[in-house]
Amino acid sequence: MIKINKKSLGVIFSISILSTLSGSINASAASTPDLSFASTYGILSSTYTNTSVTTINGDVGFTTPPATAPLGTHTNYGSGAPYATAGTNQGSALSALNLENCTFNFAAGPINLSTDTTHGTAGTYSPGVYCSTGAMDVAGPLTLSGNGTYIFRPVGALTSTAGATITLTGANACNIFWTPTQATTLAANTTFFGTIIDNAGITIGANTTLSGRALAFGGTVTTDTNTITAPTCTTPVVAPVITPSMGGIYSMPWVTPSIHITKIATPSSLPFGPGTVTYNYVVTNPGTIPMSKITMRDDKCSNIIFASGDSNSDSKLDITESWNYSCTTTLSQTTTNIVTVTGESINGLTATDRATATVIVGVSVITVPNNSTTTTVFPSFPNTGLPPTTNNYPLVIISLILLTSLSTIKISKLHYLKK
Amino acid sequence: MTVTNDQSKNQIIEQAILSSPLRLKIERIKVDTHIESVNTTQAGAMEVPKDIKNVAWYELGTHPGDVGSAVIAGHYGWKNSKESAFDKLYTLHKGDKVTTENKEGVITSFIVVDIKIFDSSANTKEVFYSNDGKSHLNLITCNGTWNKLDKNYSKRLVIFTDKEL
Repeated sequence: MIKINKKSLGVIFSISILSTLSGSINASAASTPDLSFASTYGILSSTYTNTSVTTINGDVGFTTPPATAPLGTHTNYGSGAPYATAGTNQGSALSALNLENCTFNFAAGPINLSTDTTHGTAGTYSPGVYCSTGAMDVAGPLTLSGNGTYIFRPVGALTSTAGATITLTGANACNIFWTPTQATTLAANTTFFGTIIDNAGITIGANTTLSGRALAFGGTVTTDTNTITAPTCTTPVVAPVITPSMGGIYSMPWVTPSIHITKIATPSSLPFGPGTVTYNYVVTNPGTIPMSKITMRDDKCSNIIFASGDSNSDSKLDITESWNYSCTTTLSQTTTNIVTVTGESINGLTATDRATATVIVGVSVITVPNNSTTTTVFPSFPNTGLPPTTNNYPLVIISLILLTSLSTIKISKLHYLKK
Repeated sequence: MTVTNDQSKNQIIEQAILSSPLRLKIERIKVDTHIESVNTTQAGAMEVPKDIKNVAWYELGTHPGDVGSAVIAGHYGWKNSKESAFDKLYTLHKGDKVTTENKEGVITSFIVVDIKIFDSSANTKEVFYSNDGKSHLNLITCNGTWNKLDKNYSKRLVIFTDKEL
């Protein structure tokens, strides 16, 4: 059931799921995820340890407080709202970051980002997703060059060496992410940029500055005479100015907006039990007026990612465009899910559409209980052989018999060859 | 004043529901046949086509063209002087093309990528299951020698194919 709401025109449009669409869109480059409520936090932690004079310009989240409160401006301090939601948003952002494909894979083992030349010029990186199977160390100067999203993804720890400095040329701290699987330890006197997401813990050494965020909602953040400044990254879009026509009262045409969504699950069934399913959504505008504030919600898949489709990069779903989204999740039982898309037209009216999909899981699993474990047994081979008879040997068997005992086969047995 | 634009009420389920495959064609060995849909026997084996000219698709598994491993089996051997659908399956090579067609006329093409012989009692996981995110169609027929006591051929020939991109 759709309701159309008439709103005042003095509305500030904010880009929510479309925060990744500011600027030009390159469907093949990595995207900056929406941090939502985590974006205002300079520190997000379970335990925040600090006994020094440290300045945090940004919210500070913790359940166990520091012995010494940090200086600086923090609208939110402690575990009150939106602390819990920010924690969830940290998780969603990390999931989105981890779904970005690696644009460069380092060789196995620990990597010194400042001296590595396998990726390109030593110490310089352009936007991309850099993946390693070992720890990453910013051991010296590091330059991030170019506007775009950087993701550094070590399977291992993240460290810096004392005095290491990151320099940005054309890059923006809003679009730099560090997602190690083990703890982060920045040494003393480091100049660091970007958002570190690391529930294994983040320790920042003495006199180090971080233009970014230390997000460890499930872990401990430790500071020591640091300055952390959370960047302001949201881009408010001002509502367009409508000028009244000459000598009259300006009135908006009463145009009914329209939006349409389809959804396909791949695979459409998981016959042998739980597995990964990707939902691909296509949102189109069958109406006559461009749609903004496109929001998507799937009741069984939480990390919907915009893939492509805003051909003119104006953040509006134009009537000629098809916007593609995807969401990947693991299903362990037959699941029916509904995605809802909502958009708003310039005259303040909204339209909504829904699409449903059902993925059947585990229909043909044959399980054999074996003490405390169950073994999946697949169907055995079908019995597709017909018994050979003396008058009806398929050619291959006839050939074998011919080869092995030519003299004993009578011509009459070869009558099928006349066909 | 409210205007209701209830698009979702008229909407059918938007998911592209894959219908059963109906025809199998393998041009190089002149196979152009009907696909029956089958289940498992009480003993847990995949069922076989009722007509030896037809082949059978394991309907509890993956649809041909969907992500996963779809399985189609066909008979091998003659009955009443008539050929079975997969009598010449053993002559296929890597690179040969196999196509399926469903009720809606959607044709999906596959390319042979591997050919293996299994014991008739071997574990079939490799044939019925995959989780590499790709679409496979695996064809099964009999091979080896006929065992009069078991009323079974000793081997199974499996042609592994990948969906053509």
